[in-house]
Amino acid sequence: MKPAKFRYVRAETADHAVDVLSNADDTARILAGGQSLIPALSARSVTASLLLDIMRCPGLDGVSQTGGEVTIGAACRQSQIEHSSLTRKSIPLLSEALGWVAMPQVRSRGTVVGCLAQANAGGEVPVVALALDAEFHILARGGVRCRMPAQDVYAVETGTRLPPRSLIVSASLRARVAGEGWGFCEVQLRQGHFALVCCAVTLLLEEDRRIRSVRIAVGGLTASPYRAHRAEKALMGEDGDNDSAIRDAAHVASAERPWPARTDLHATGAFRAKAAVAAVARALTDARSRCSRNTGATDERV
Amino acid sequence: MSGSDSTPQEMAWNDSNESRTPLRVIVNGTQVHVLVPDRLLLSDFLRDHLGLTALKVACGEGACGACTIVMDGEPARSCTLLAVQTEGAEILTLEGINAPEGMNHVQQLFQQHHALQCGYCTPGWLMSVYGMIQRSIHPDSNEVGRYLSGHICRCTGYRNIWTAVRRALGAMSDKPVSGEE
Repeated sequence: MKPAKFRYVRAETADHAVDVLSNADDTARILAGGQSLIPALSARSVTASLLLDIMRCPGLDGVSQTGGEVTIGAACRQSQIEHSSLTRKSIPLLSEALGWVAMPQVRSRGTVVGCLAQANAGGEVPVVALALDAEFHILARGGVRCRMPAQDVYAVETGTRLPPRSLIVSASLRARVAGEGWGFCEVQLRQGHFALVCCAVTLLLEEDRRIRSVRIAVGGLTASPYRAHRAEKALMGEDGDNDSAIRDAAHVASAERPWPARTDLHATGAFRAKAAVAAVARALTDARSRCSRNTGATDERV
Repeated sequence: MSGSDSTPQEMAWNDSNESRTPLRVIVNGTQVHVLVPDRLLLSDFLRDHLGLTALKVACGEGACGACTIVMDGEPARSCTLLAVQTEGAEILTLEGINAPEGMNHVQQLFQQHHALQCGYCTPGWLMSVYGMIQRSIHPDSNEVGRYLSGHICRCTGYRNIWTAVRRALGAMSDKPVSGEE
């Protein structure tokens, strides 16, 4: 099918976009890459009165690092971030996860921040955002700017807590520190499909291989992604090479889901809960294998 | 196609009340300046209004890859983009990379390796291979499988396509396809 009628406006600036959005009706939408929105409009599962294209707004297409934080603008395309040398070095977890987002032919137009706003239940990027303590820079009605942690944005069973008629101008993610390992594991029906479940992990080991810090985020199992705080706590101080501790933590991570496990045409909630255990365990062991032995000895930060 | 005059060319469209936006885009090296309906998909713009019918529209939702074009050097779906979104971009369709006569190198490899039967999906594959060559992807890299997963072929089967694509990326032999990543 083809989209029903709408009006299209190329926003000149981020403020212009939010301004127009404030004065439009409830069906007006921000358009970035459009790789989810355009097919939805074609299928007429979504109708919009107005699309506000933000891809040409100045200042939204950059990726930069300040201290321990990498900031990605709303107009940055997934392929651009996946292959950028800055992201590969400073947030390799995101580069890896982006390889699981749809196919290269879609990632060439889809945006990273668009994934964060869309918050699809099978999406990978919001899960990475939780593992990397992301903060969203939001521009709301009347030019009000605020920062919102990903943890708060996704703290509802479905949808997001993003303020209505607002724009995520950029998102900041924690950069990798020296010696830190990372892992991303996904279970999907076929390459390019949404995640049945996925897990993002970052891990730091002490010199004696005990776990100094760990972050575990789980997606797909529930409609919104979550941080597995109980599993993280259980792992603190454990021997990083103790596989049974990792297995136990993976079970905790799946079981501590704050909402019911998702059942749909592709998998039952019970299957997803089991698959999540496997995904968390794999992401943790992958992260461990990437932890450097000389933790803290050198600072590789740019 | 119109030139880059200051007035965009009007386009035939049966509803005069349709909201439209001027669009300047380079298609296969030619500057196009037209007033396009806001809701017109890029695939329909290229096929129905510019007559570039090599790309095919099959699923219409970005899953099958038959409508793949190259936008600013990267393969993209033309059915999940609005024509108006391509403002200022450079678009390549298969017509833009065809050899002046006969077949180009990749098309010859597809023929040699029997990588097509009905040919409906082939223009899409060829545009993705163009994008892969632009990125100098190694024939044995797991990136190859990722690009190939962006296309659906319902008759030839993927083995021969995989072989032709590896050859196009510079592989010297037709080693059997091993498991993907």
